[in-house]
Amino acid sequence: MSMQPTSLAAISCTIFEDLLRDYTHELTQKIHRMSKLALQKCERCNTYCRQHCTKPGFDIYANNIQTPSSIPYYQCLSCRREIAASRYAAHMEKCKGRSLSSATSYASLLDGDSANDDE
Amino acid sequence: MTAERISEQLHENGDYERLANELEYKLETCGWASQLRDYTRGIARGNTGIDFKNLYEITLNTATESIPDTVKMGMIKDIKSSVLKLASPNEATENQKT
Repeated sequence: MSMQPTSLAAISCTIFEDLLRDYTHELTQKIHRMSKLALQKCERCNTYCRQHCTKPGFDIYANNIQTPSSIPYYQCLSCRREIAASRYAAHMEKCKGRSLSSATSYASLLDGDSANDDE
Repeated sequence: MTAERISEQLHENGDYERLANELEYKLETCGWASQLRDYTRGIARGNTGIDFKNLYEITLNTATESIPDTVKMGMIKDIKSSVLKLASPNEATENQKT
């Protein structure tokens, strides 16, 4: 059976519309469901845990995003300088050639400190 | 052959699912799918009481108007070959050979 070109084009367009409709339906269903769940309190934790935070300066779970002003600082055991937490390990590797991975050198740091305390 | 009958046959021989996967792949690859998701999410958040039917109608209208022409033309071409295979399998194979 041969098919007329105009009928073939019309049928193809109809099938394409069906495909697009199905795709859009599935996409809309997922998003509608998520948006509705975000408005409800979670039965497990009794919080709006699905509601993502959109405030500036906070991540989606409403935790503080670390900015240069909010990073904690710790004193280096060797040189006693205040070092940012994110740079602490790198600093210890370079500080007086000592490495955190070396248990001997770290232990000697602590021994050195206790000896200084005794004096 | 009616469009409904052809659609049924495409479902039966698995071509419909193949075409659906192909459409999804093309829309994800070109980034259009994520734009539509963002748009739909924006509407859902802006109207918290919106029901599914209204959201779907809005999204479908936007999707129909904004779908890239290259994707649409590519898909219609593939659909035509699948339909031709159903209508006349012998002619379809001859067309493929030429």
